[in-house]
Amino acid sequence: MSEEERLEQLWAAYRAAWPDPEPGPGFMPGIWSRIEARRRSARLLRRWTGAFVAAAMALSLFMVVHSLRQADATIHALTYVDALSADEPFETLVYGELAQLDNPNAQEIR
Amino acid sequence: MQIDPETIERARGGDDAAFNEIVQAYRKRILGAIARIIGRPEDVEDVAQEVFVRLYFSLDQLRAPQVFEPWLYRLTVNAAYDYLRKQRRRSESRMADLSEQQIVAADAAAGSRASEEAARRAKVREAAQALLAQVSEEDRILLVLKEVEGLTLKELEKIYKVNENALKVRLFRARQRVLKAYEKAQAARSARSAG
Repeated sequence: MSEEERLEQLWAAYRAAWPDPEPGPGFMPGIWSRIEARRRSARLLRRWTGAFVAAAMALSLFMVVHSLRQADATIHALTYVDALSADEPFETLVYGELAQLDNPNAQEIR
Repeated sequence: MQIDPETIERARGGDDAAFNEIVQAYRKRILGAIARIIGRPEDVEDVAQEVFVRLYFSLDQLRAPQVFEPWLYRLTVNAAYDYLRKQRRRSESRMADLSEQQIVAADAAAGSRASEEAARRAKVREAAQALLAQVSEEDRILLVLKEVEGLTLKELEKIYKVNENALKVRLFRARQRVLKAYEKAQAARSARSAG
């Protein structure tokens, strides 16, 4: 008998040596408890994902509002400086200072 | 097919009773296939439960009830493969020792009522498992499905989703590798008995 034939015999004997086993009494309940456990973790994951998305949206909204408010503050600050400059035009300052240099006893021209 | 297409359709629609019917119809066959692939009786139920859980969550992906059986076998192959890979990652030598110890312990527990037939079966199982342990997980599963489970090439084609020629090549190579291991084991046994 060749090695190949012996091997074939071994496979056949192996098949006969392992009859299909009967499942234990906990087999079906075990399947359902695993299914339930996976459903639970899927639900939990969905909930976490939902919470994460909501938190990310809230954070984005907060950042948008915050940056808008900062932009507003800058605009107001610039307007204030502009208002001051407008109140005391550059030319007035220059001419006033020149007049003071020409005549140190004279009052500042306003 | 062991179950009618309507039951599969009902299970796909979320009918738990129909799913139970499927499990009842296939559980022995799947348990047997897993037992012969992994060769560790204490883990067979665990792997089989995993197969049916995967089946439950992927039933909606089944194209047609007609391809249900190869598809279930595919899930079985994948679960057995995952199990074998996990086992491989653990210490192999320790596992082999443990397995042998368990066989001895099981035999001892059977004690007086252990018949010669049971001892012979245990010996055959041990010899085949030792041989299958010499090849890769892929070869092991393919060989068990073809040589032990007796699946046809057509059935294997559907499970592996490869064409017949590619399957023949894989099978030929797997057979060559296991034959080599078998010859080596025979030679070692002859040397032992001569010495």
